[in-house]
Amino acid sequence: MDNMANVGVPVAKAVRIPAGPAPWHAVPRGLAIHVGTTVVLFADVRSGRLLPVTSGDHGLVPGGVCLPAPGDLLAVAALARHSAPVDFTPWGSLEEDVVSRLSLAVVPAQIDATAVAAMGAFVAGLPAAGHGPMTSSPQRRDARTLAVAAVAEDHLACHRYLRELVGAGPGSTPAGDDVIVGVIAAFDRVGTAAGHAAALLRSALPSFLHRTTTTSRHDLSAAIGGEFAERVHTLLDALSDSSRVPRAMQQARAWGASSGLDLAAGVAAGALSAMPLGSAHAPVEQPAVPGSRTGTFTIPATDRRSA
Amino acid sequence: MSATHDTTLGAKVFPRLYRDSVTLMAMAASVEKHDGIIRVGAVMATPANLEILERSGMRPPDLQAAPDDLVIVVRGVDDEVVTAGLEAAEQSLTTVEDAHGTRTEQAARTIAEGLAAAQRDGRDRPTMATISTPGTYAPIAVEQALKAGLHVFCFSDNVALEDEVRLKALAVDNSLLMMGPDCGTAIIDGVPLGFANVVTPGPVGIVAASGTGAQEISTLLDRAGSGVSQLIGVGGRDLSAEVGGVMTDLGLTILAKDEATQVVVVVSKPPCSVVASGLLARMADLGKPAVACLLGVADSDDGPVAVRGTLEGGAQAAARLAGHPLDVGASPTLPAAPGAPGVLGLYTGGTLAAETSIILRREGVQAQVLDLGDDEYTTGRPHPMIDPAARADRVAEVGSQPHVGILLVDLVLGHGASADPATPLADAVRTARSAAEQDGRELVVLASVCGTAADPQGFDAQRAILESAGVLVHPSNAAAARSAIELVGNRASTNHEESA
Repeated sequence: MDNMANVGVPVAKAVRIPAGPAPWHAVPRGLAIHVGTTVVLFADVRSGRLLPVTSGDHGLVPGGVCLPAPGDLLAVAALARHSAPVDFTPWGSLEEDVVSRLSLAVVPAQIDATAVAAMGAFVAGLPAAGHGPMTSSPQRRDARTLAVAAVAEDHLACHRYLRELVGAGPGSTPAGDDVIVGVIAAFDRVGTAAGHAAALLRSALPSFLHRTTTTSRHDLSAAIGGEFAERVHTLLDALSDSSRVPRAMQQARAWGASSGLDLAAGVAAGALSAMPLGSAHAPVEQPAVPGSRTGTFTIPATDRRSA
Repeated sequence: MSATHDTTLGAKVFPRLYRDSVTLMAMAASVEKHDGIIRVGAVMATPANLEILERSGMRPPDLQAAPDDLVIVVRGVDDEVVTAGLEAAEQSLTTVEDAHGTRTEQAARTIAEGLAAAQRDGRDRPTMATISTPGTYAPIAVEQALKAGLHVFCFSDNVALEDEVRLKALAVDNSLLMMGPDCGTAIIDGVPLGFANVVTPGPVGIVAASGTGAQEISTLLDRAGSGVSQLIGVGGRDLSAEVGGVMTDLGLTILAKDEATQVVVVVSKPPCSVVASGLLARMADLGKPAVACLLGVADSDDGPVAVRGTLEGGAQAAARLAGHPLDVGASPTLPAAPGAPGVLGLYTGGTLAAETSIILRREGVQAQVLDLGDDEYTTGRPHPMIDPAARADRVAEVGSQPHVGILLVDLVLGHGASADPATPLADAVRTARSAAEQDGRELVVLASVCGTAADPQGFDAQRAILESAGVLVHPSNAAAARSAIELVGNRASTNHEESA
């Protein structure tokens, strides 16, 4: 494989990467393992380490490179269809002024009870779709039990729920994994008061990583390391401002078939379980926000224009 | 395969294959519709999912797969059905398999997929996206399209005002059209979008915050021999205070620079006063003759921009400026008087209904004029321009309403409209007039046909169908409204003479 000719990645006009060493240093040459509509996934030919390449539609992900325009991603996707490894070293010659670095770590911030309740009500109101392994409803329900167990420092329960959640549900990043990522991210957002809960999940999770896909392992490992995709940050920002919740939920609907909503379920569960600040060990039931379940988030039964 | 009771379970493993979950769910739903298929599952073969399959009775005992493998499981009535189901599932997951075995996904379902498909097929890069999803999802699709550099025609309604404001700002920043939301009509570079008529190309450019308003004006211009260069829809809220007319402004900029456009028309319900004054100033500055057709305002030629308060008036002013004066033609002969004083309008076009209401109100004629395309009438039902049955049902009932002597209706032709809107309407009119006649009353039905000779439904044929049912077909919607006024006046005179 080392002797195979490489295909050089086109030099983009601008890229966004996570803060820290540029991802192409860790993955100088990669073979495509997935060509999706908003993400192309490469694995380093030697280490197997993943390099996700995305565009603005998807946002930056841990260890990834985010290109400015969908057309740039299409160019990379076209390369991925070759059997030869893609050489990412041309990106190493990019001038610093076209490389933007974005910290994907969560900064603790005040969260708003109304926003948390609104997000929780929205997730609770989602209709169940699919059945058996094709539905993520069970994983979304388990989000709260996992979060409550972590806040209560119930190690046994956490292990039990992680075993059920890791790798469970639909998607190449299974729904259970998205839920877990969301819960940990919410704990990090709450900050010190939920630090013990986040630490518990981070210490328990590595022993379950073999139970999921390579792609999802990448996201879970990043979460253990304290980094989350831009999409997750969008959900976290909505926890601090209830006016952002409707739009955040709107955007989350469009992330995969259920991935966005699974992340939202995890974020809502983590935030609900960790409130209020100062009562870190007691999960608090938040009252439903009047009108938030149906008035704001109900999908119209039929839209006349879609006839 | 394994058999349990009277069913068979089969599975296929695709090593290290990832597919977007949207694709997997759609595939499973599609295969489940096949005869004999009971259930389909498509998941990554993680231990947790294999346990879920086990609990669901969907795990074949001999299944060997790793977490990075995609497994498709099918339960069906027999081996043959299950095998066919697995083959269908595999086929739907894979389309082009190139020489290297790389699989690419099927029909585009998102903006990004559409762009990728165009590039893959060697087609020119698309320049516009048309979006017709439930309103909840439209903003996401619009945003993706705009960020991909595409103009947008957004047919969807029920889009939040704040989303419209945000997305139009994004569009303007990128010099892109965002037509809508709730934009029903446009003609861009000769391409009709939504409900649009087949209109002769010509020198009049239209910016419309009104669907059927744009259709009425464009079809009258076609009749005048003038024609339309561009018809840019901007959605009904664009000229509101909140949106501020930003897309109208961009549309005017485009028409000012368009060499094929010699006269510019803006058509809308009356904007708020702040937006209106800015609009007229902007139109005066275009460097081309302009007509502001703002329904309900008083006609005026005092300023540099001709202002008209009716669609017919707007079309006449524009046609004259374009050097093709419009003679709408004669209205049909009216009966002496209707059988009852009440006037009812049952419309499929909102702006046509509004024009009628304005004309009647100006002459002091009381009437109930309904826009049956409005949300309150279309929840759970298609728009009456797409499905004429709902309006036809209401028309048929009018015959049993003794207070209604005059019924006003519209018939809108063109792309997107029903293939034959005249027949159900004509049948309903016959029913209504017959019921009224049996009751000793005459029900007068006045209509106009909004269309052109080139529209797919056949203008003359549709008109003839209505006339055969006794409908008095007028050359314009405004003309039909004027006839209603005359009839009401005739009845008032008759009553006066009788009581004298």
